Amino acid sequence: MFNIIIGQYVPGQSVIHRLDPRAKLLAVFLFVIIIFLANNWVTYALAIIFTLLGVFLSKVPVRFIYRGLKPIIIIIIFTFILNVLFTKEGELLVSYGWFHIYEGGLIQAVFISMRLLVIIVATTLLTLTTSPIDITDGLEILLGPLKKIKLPVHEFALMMSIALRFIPTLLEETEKVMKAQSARGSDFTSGSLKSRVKAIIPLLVPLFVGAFKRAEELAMAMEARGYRGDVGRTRLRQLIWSLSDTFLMLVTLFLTAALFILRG
Amino acid sequence: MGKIIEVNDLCFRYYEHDPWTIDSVSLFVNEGEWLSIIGHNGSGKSTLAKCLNGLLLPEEGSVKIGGLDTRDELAIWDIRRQVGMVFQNPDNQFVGTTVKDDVAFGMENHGIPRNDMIVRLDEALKLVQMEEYAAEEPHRLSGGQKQRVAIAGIIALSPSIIILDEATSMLDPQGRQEIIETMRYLNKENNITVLSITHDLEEAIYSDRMIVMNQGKVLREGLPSEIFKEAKMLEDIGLDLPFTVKMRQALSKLGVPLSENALLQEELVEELWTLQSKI
Amino acid sequence: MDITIKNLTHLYHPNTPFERIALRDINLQIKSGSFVSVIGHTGSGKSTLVQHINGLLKPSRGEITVGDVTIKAREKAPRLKDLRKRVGLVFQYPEHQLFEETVEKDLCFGPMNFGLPLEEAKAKAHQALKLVGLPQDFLQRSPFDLSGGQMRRVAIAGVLAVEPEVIILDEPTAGLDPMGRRDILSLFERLHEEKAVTTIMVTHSMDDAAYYSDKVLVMDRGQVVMMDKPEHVFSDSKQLKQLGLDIPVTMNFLAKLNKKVHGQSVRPVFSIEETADAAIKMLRQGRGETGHV
Repeated sequence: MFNIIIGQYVPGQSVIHRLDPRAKLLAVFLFVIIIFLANNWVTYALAIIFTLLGVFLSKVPVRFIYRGLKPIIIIIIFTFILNVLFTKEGELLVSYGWFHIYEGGLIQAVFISMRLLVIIVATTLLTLTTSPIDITDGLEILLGPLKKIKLPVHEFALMMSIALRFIPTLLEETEKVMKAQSARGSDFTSGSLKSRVKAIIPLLVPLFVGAFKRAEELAMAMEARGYRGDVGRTRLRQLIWSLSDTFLMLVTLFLTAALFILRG
Repeated sequence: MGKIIEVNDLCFRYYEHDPWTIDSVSLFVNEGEWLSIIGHNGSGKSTLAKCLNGLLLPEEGSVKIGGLDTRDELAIWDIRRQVGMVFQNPDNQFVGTTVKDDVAFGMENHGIPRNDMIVRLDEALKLVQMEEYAAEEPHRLSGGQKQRVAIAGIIALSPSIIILDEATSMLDPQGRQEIIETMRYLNKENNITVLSITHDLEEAIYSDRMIVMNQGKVLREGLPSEIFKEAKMLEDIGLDLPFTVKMRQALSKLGVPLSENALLQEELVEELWTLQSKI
Repeated sequence: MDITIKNLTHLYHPNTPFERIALRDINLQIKSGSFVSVIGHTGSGKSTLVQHINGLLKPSRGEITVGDVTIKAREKAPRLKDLRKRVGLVFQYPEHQLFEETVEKDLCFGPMNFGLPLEEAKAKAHQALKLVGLPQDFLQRSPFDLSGGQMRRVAIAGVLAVEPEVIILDEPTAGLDPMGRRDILSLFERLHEEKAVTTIMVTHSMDDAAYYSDKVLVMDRGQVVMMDKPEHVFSDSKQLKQLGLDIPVTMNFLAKLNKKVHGQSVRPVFSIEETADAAIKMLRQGRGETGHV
């Protein structure tokens, strides 16, 4: 539960960890777009090398990346099978009753699964090497220009960071209420589906009531501490753009150009 | 000693047509003093606290902080910088994802330049002895530590007053002790005025002055020694008595001719010692 | 119901890198009908220990027997529901567990979970509300419209409605004002005296532990350091200090007086009246010995 909600940040000191979250966000964003340019072996190979290089440099154990992939793997396999079965291009390789596999279909299936795979690995790598709060900071600054068209970027970022801050608190609270209701004879783990759904109400109501009370008190405390939106605010957290960030940008741009040139 | 807070005929209620939650309250707070406000739950003391930094605005009467009126929209942010407030629940006032971020939150709001912020941050954390925890996340801290972080966040803005709104009531004895000691230090060394809303009578004994609230009104105002002479009144409005007062009553009942002055245990011991021959 | 704990060890997050010993080799016995206070520093394992008594937590090693139910490590716990019916647990800030639209419905929640039909559950609810000293017209009110102290009492009534034979209190008075505190504590004192309910109270207040209990259980870093009558536990002020605990205010006062008048040390007392008596005795003795006029 914990991992799903707050991302799977694995603290570390690698080159990738130390990159500015803005650079990582931009690079992953760009990468996810340009991967759609790839359409032959060379371009896919380039994209895969780029991704694997990232994984290698991050020094994050491969099992963490696998863990990020796990929920998606079914979808990838499913996409693979669909493409194999329904693309009828090129030479016929296998034929068995209504079941035909064409060369074009196989290649298409490999390409599309590759595309999904590198997209997931690249984004997983981002969340594995960047703490949620850094991602929030990075997003706030990157999306900063949108404030001009009155999008509540600052408020959104603050919301994110408060949500991150309160996740452990709310988990603790959930555990406590669950125990308290169990002590009063509630059963969360057995019985029919209907009775289990019913058992969840005594858990949810106190949690909601508690969360609203927290929200109210927190708002009061923030106001008391001089919070008035984005007006005249300074920041303690600072993102520092270094040479390696520029380098990452250059490599990503270079990859973009290469994909443009080498695509078939 | 100047008056740093002046409240005149303050009336407040949460909804129109409700009875007053605060009913014509007038009071003042002297610069540098430690003032305790006691009263049972629902006596209006926490509402009063929220009126003192403009979180709630008077319906009638006025609240002035260092001469600034809380209803003056231009002054309100200055007022909130002057008047720091520590609330009851340590969790529900911790905004930052780490100790450092939380202490900085108030400074960021008030637009303190980053360089200045870093210096103040260090100083404030040292004052509350939390410097080793700067990078810690809140769910790893005890209640007392979180409250100390809240105090650091206030101190960093160099306020003149800190209001403790039952800030120790959810803490264990050790946490309570830490907070009171920290606040005593700030009161003495940094000349910060302390207004403590509490039902911890053993804490109130040590204050310079006390106010007793009941049903939205100020019932009594005076020195702790004077207030605690009125044991009957305190019991009538649902408050307990400090240990020494109960002890004094029990001893008097047994015929020990005690005065009504002793409030600290040491004072009572001293007085008993002088009376030793008469017992 | 007697409670017997044998070699109980409890691990948090067992078999992970975060494994931590919460309780270490606990052995103790609580007699049916007694009032036991559990004291110790925050994090000493008090709450973890008491949550074993109604099977909310299972021992990682060792076993616990409550009445005729024994829960052993690595075995499926038997008849938990039956156990929880007989052992009520009032958590810290129990008002956070209220959830129904009316007080009556919330009070019926426990009894009905344990198999009572609605009408009987209602009867229990009414009794429980009376027990905690709230008027019957509260039954149809929403628990969320009540004051903090009243909510606390309703939540406690929700546990009492089940009529447990053992009641566990985890800091039942935390955050209450002095009057609320007195009310709650005298309620449990009454229950204990009149209905012989076995009462186990986790508390930070040495005064309450000393005043209300037959036995005091002192915990430190997951272990039981002492379990004895309050007069014995609190006569060892040196050890308590080492554990970061205080002595009751009555004894603290007598110790100060004793130092001043050079009286003889007195046996521990915890009520105001007894302390007054002891103080006078001490002064008379002191006068005799020092010849002070």
